[in-house]
Amino acid sequence: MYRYDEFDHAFVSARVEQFKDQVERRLAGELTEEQFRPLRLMNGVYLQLHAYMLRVAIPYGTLSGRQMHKLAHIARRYDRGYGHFTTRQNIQYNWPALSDMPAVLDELASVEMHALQTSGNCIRNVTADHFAGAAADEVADPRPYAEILRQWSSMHPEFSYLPRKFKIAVTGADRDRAAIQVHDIGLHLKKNEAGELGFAVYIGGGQGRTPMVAKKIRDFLPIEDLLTYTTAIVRVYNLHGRRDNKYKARIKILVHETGTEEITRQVEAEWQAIKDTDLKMPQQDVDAIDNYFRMPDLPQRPEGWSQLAISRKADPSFARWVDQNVTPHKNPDYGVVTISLKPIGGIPGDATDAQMDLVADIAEKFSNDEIRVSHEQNLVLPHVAIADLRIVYDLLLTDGLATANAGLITDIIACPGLDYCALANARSIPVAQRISERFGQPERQADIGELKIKISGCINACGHHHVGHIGILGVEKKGEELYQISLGGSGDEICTIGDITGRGFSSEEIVDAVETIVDRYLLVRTDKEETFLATYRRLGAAPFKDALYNETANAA
Amino acid sequence: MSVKVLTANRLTDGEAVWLGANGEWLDHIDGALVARHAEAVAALEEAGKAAIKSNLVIDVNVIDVEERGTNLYPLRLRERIRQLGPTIRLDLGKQAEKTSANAA
Amino acid sequence: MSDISESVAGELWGREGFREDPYIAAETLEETGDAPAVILPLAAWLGLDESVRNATNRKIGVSVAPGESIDPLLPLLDTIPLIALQFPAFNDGRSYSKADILKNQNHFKGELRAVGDVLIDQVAYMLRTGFDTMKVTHAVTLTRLAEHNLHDAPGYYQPGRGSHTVPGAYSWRRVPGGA
Repeated sequence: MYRYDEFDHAFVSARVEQFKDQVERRLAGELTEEQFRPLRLMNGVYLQLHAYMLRVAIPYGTLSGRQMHKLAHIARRYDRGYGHFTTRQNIQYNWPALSDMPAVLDELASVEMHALQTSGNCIRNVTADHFAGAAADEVADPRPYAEILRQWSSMHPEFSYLPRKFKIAVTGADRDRAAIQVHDIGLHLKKNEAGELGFAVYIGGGQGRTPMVAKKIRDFLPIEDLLTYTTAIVRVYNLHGRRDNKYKARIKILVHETGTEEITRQVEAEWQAIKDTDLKMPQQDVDAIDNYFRMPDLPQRPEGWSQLAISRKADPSFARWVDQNVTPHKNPDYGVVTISLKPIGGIPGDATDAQMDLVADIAEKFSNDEIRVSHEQNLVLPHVAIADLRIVYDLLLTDGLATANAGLITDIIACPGLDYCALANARSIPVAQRISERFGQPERQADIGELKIKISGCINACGHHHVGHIGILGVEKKGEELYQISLGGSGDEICTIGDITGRGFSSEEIVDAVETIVDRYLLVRTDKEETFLATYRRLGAAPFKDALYNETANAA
Repeated sequence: MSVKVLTANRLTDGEAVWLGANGEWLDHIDGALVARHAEAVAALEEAGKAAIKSNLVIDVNVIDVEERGTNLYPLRLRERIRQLGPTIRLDLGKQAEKTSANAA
Repeated sequence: MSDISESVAGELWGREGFREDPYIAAETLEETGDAPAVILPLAAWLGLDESVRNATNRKIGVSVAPGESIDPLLPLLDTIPLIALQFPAFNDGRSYSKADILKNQNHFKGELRAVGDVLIDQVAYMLRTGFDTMKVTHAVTLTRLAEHNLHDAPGYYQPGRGSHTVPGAYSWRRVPGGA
């Protein structure tokens, strides 16, 4: 893991001191809300329906046990005993008082964390594959590059007042777990024919009101050019991105309106002018950052496999959890464990202070002191010995953290929605809870197989509904919540935006509608191996629309 | 018939509050100052501006409510959630305080 | 609130402090009489005869709005005494990129000035992207600048003007001071 040096410590402390001063001036009436608002947003402080909300950055989703313990402490001391992990690999607190914010930021700084650039029209927290540095299928660890980008984008003088927010995601495997093609910049770390590392560069992806899949503008960018090329992209965007309409201000609109060929030409031209400047990275600096993310020395634990076979046989629930929530590790004696924050009928992404403490304890003992937050709102223990799976499972079980549903229909992404969010038009969480209850039976979920449901409570799409295999968007119509369904979206390496099925469904109808879709899928799939997404791609929307609308009409 | 009340969030802790008939900002909608005609609504708006100036509250809004017996019922779901708390955590927000007050 | 009233015309400030502003801003050259230093809008400036633009007896600077391109100026930079980049609102960040292109990429030697909604929280960014001066009207900003309280960070994660490298540090990092 990256560790702060003196420079980082001084930088973050200075920002905390500055915000303390601003909060004091605000409370004393020396700053008006209008003047204070952009300042608090720069520090991750929003106003929601019931209280302020603090969004804390978890760079590329990587945490130590000590940091997770601190997040638990903050939840307990300054909030109501829980936090919400988000689709941006961050954590949000829903109830902190403004007057406590400086203290919370001090606590965060003591464990090398902050809330900077979790809001505002700047480069936001850089996200990465949550299995980075551990997954067996990885070409290289994307986190060193995410860390370099995090540093370079911190309080960037040229790029702090962009037309709109700007999100960068990095992945180092062919299997895209970071949804890079729905980001403003997506970087795919890979090797060229000569075996050198570099990036395929995508720009202009995004969700929101006008969802777009990113366009690849460069197939291979050498590592040393990462910062110069990124600067060129963001500069072209800063100069030419639309500022007349906030819904048309993201780079995806600029790419769309300018054309991929022309925007690529502009970026390349700008890059030619700056590619040999100070931002060209010397290999020694890349190596120094890379060094923080070296694969830990994991002891050989070959005994795990025979133990696992015995435990599996003895306990079908454990076997199901291993099958569903453990992913192959680079080291065959180890596994990558997904801790589901989606208990059946629970609130997606919420964790109590006790749960956070438990995960931190387990990570310290059994996962080389490392935890990840996934954009799917789960937690990950990246380095667990196969021999320790049983004990880790038993520990997780003690506080409701061993739900065996990673990637299944109840592993639902949902934004906070109208239960908390000032921007929302409809609730998301209760819909997720009811769907989860409807499909919660383990055999039924297993039979349905991989199916990603994603729910947003407004068009901003924080719940990623556009890339849900089944996406649900809540809107407000005549004072009532109404839910639109889209099908066939996907945020992985074959990225697609879902198609809207037709008229929306009321809160009472929406769970039945999802069940209708699932039942039709079970009827028309070729066999159990054909996933929902594969079936949709083979057959298109017709059979599902038919099930949703014609049968409803017939029944009426 | 729908009437109007004035709502906001308190500066110090962000808590949802309503302007009371007594001129104080109340933690609950009960006892809120109800505006039944245009001049009264204008007075609410003026009171809101004054409260922003004196740094007591932020995000001030006039909202539609219905008088149901002695209760005030906000017409939008958003406002009903602000009034009570998250619908998925009945142990949190104002609904929780009320329950524990009733239980006491 | 601060008791210092807003300065309507604005004060000119640079790294060394407040200074006299010899320039007057005008829409056309005609309305400036024989003022020795004038700032004209980009279109008016480009419309001037080359001999007028390069006259040695007066300085004629050019003001550029965020939506206007600086490309026509690039071949002429050696002859321009001042370029004013506008910030109609503090959150319109286009002029930062232009500042960097003018100063760091094209080595513009004249005065680069920020005009418009110049606020204390952005002053450090302006200096780092290459601005020499800023025209300030905002009262709190004037007070803080007078106290030389720039709200600056102790270190930077990017190269920029007014900072230098430290041996052994990552190549992208800088600390304030020097060139």
